[in-house]
Amino acid sequence: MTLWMLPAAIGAWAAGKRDLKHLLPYTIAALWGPLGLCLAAVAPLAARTAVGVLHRLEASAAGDAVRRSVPILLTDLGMAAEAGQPLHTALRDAADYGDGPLADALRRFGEHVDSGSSVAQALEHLRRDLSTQQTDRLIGLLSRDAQLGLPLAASVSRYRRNWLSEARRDADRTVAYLPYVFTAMAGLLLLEGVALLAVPWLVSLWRTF
Amino acid sequence: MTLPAVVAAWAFMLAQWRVQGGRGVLLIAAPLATFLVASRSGLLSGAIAAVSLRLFEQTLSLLAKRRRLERLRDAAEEPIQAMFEQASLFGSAELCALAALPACGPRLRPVWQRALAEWLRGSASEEAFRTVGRSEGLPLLVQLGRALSLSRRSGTPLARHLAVLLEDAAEERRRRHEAGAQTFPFFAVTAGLAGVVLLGSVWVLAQGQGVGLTYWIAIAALLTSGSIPLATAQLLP
Repeated sequence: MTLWMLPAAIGAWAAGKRDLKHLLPYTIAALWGPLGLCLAAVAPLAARTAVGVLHRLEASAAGDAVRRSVPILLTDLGMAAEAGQPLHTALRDAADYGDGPLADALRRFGEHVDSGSSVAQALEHLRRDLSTQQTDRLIGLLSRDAQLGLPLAASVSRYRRNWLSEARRDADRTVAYLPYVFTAMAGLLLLEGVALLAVPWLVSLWRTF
Repeated sequence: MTLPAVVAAWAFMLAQWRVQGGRGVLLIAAPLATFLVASRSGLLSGAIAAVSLRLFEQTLSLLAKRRRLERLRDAAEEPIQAMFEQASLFGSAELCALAALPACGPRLRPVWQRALAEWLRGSASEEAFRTVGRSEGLPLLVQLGRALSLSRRSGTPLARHLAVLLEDAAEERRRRHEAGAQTFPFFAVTAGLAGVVLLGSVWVLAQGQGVGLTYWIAIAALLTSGSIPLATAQLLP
C-alpha cells in the first residue's frame, strides 16, 4: 500500500490540484493497486467529459425550449401591438404569461429596465441572455426599430409573418432528421429480433453436425 | 426455482402492479411476464424484464397523454373562434367567454367550465384563463388570458386581439399536424417493432435458456426494446 501511495501523491502533485478532494481518486488507486490507478487516471477525464456532455445537452434543451416559445412570444407581441403597448411593456407582460427559459430571460429584461438601464441596453442583455440565432435577429430588429422611434405595432406587423415562417422552417429542419433516427432504431430492433430467432436455430444446427 | 427467486419475482410483480396503477392488459401481462422470466431465467433477467416492461408501458402512457393534449389544443380554437364572432355582439369579454361555452367540444368543456368557475369565484377573467391554461398545458388559453387583459387595460376591442391569436394558432396547428404526419408513422413502426422484440425476448427468457449467446441476445433485446420507444417518443415534435 505504501508503495502505491507514491504514484498517488505524484499524481496529485502533477495534476496541480491543491484541493484535498482531488486526492481521493489517487488514494483509491493506492488502495486498489494498478487497476485502481488506471481507473483513477481515467475516471476524472470521463467525469469531466460526462459533465461537459451534460452541460451541452442542458444548453441544447434550453435553446430548444426558447425556439419553441418564440412563436408564442410573437403572438403576444402581435396582440400587444394591437393594444398600442410600447416594446418594453409588451416584453415584460409576455414574461408574466409565459414560462420556461424565454420567460425567465424576459423577467431579467424587466429587472434591467427597473434598475435604470435603457431599453436598448436591456435588449442587448436579453439578446446575450438568449443567444439563439432566431432571437438574435428578432431582438436586433426590434431594438433597431425602437431606437428609430417606430411604434411596436409597425415593427411587429412588418416582421411577424417572416419570423413565424422562419420559426416554422427551423422547426421543420429539426424534424427532418427524425425519420432517419426512427428508421435506424427500427433497423437495430429488427436485427435483434432476427438474431433472437436465428441464433438458437443456428446453435441447434451446429450441434446436429 | 429457489424460494428467494420466487419472493423476489413476486416483489417485482407487486412493484409493477403498484406503479402502473391499472393500464389494461399490461396490468396483468407485465407482472406475469416478469414473474415467468424471473423464475425461469434468474433474478437479473427478471429485474431487466420488469424495467423494460415498465419503460414500454411508460411510452404508451406518454403517447396517450400527448394525444389527449393535442386534441385539447386543437379543440381550444373553437370557443375562441366563437368568442371572436360574438365579440361585436357583447360589450363584455366575460360574457363572450360565457357565450362561447356551447362551442366547446366534450374534451374542452370541463376545462372551459373550470376557467369560468374561477372567474365567477372572483378571479379576474384573464387570471382565470391563465391559471387553467397553465395547469392544463394549453398555451392558447394562457394567451386568451393575455388578450383579455390587454383588451381590458388598453380599451381596444377584444376581436382585434383574438384575430391575431386565431391566425397564429391556425398556423401553429397546421405546422404541428404536418410535422406529426411526417414523423409519426416512422415512430409507430419503431414502437411496434420494439413491442414485438420485447415480447419475443420475454418469451425466450421465459423458456429458461441457460446463460449462453441466446440469453445475452435476449437481454440486449429486452433492454433496447424497452428504452428505444421511450427515448424516441421524447423526440416527437
